[in-house]
Amino acid sequence: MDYQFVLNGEVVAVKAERLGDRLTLSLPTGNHVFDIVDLGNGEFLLRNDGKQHKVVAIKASNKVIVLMDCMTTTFDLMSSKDGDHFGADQGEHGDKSKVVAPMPGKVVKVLVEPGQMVEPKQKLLIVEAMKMENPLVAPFKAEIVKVNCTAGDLVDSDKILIELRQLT
Amino acid sequence: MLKKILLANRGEIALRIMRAAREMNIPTVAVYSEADAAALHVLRADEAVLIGPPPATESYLCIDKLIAAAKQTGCDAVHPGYGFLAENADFAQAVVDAGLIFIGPSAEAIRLLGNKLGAREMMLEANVPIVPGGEVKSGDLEDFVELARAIGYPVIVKAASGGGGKGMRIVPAEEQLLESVEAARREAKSAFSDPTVYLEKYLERPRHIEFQVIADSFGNTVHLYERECSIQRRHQKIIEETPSTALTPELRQQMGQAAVAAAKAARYTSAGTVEFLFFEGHYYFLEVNTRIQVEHPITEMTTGIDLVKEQIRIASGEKLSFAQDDIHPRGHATECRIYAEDPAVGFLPSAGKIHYLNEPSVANLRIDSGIYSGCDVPIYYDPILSKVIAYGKDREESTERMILALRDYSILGIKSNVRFLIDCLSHPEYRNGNLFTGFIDQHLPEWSEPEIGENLPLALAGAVLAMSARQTTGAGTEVTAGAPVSLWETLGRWEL
Repeated sequence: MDYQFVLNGEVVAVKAERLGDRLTLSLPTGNHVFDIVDLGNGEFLLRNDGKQHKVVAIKASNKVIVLMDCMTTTFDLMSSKDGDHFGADQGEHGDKSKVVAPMPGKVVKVLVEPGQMVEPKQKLLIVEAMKMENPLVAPFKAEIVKVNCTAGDLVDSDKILIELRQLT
Repeated sequence: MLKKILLANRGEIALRIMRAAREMNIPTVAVYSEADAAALHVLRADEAVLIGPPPATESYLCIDKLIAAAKQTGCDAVHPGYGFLAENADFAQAVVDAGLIFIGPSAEAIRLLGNKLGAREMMLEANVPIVPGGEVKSGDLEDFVELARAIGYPVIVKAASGGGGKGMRIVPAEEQLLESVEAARREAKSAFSDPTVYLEKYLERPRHIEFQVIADSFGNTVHLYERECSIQRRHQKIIEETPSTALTPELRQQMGQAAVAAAKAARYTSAGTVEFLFFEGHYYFLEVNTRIQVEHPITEMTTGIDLVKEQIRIASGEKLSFAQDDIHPRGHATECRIYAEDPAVGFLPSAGKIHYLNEPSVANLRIDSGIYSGCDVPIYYDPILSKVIAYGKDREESTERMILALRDYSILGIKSNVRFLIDCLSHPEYRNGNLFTGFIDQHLPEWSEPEIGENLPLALAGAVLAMSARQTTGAGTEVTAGAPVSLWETLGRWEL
């Protein structure tokens, strides 16, 4: 089986072959062989090179979340359309030129306007959710192209609030 | 003894109070909003009453709905937990006026201590050291300048009715003073409908050290020693421990006595916390929290006293069963708060479904949790999920045990601060006990999740396994093998 996962906006192609308890992965960087113990509930024990690792892996809608050694890795899944993947223009691993609401909330303050230049980490707007005010910041040096919200707006998760153009 | 208790709260603290009541054979009634119909505190209670739509202002903060729920189910007492209405004097009064018992201090004590300026004056009279500063009775800006000069810069402007950092301004020098006073007044007016502000000396690297007190209605007041809560983000504690590495036995005794004096000055009853700032060997009264604290379990671990059971006993008119001389704390306890948030992006809260949860099981470990595999974390409330409390014979053992426990705390589906907590506890300055409230800003300012690096093939193997495994449950609904079917989801409400 061939799989294509998206990690931090980059596509990772994986060819996987399973024979009994043995899983062989072919990656661009080389082949890896694992012996698998399925512990149920999404928990697996993977043995490789004499070491064993406990991995928890859950598929949830358009993502696979893997937890291993206190580290969480989220893979986005490719959709059926070639070269396109879910969440390409929204969400944290997608197109960073669109600033989206991370969760449903209320826009408390908009701190920028179209045409303005912003520095990396500069606060763009503040969204209130879960009793807290959360600043959303510029991912890079950019020009503000469009502001799609005003203070007081109730916004749903993944709504595009501000559009940016990256400056180099 | 009380007959039935209404839990005017949700999440882990509602469950904590429920456990204490259950040990005393007192039934409990949960309340819940529409967002919490399948929340753990609802599933576990003896009875549950729906009190309204998800926003807290239409449910958990509605005094009349809570009292109606208590009456309707035949409760004789109400426990407010922490947050929501816990420090609302009107709620405490309304409970009493309805003929019910409020498990906490009197409405009068809550009101007295809720006003920061009033509390400062009360402590001054009781000879409890306070941070240099005070009110400007005239309200004249000239007089603010004079007071600020007298106490010395930097100063901090605070709202008399304030809390949660609102109406607060740090002023480094005289040029910014007038502007800051005016801004703080505006903020205080809009947040608390009271524009009164006052000045305090700003302490730059203080520790936050608090003392647990408990008092009955017969004038017996005992302190249960300190908790150090200097590890904070957004002015909110995330790691607490007892004892503090900063106190000598003499200071500990003095501060304990000051805490008892503070509680007595307010004629305080039930469990409460006297908070101090600690700086260069001196302590200053900060405020009294008139409720059970989030971090109360560490005190329970080292003193062996169940604070919630004591609150219930005191509320039913009993005397404290111990005196100051009976309290001998042993060992060391640490608490970590597990929050639904992303420490890599400014601790942004993260709501959603918990697809997988596995809480650790380790010797001398306590977990107060409000979540389960398959539950939803709603966007409407504080993002605290659970608390991990590790006991050890000393600080080293308690810290190591905590790290071990956190490494085993697996949660998938929402972001959590577990990995960040491990990095805090592992920091050499934490291990040395050099704590202050700016610890996180100073030592872990640009924290990010470690890169997957050479473990990528392992993670991909996990991803492939999650993708390929599919199974069908008895009911015929297809689920991914990776997604556990929760006991709670399939059973619905459970009678215990």
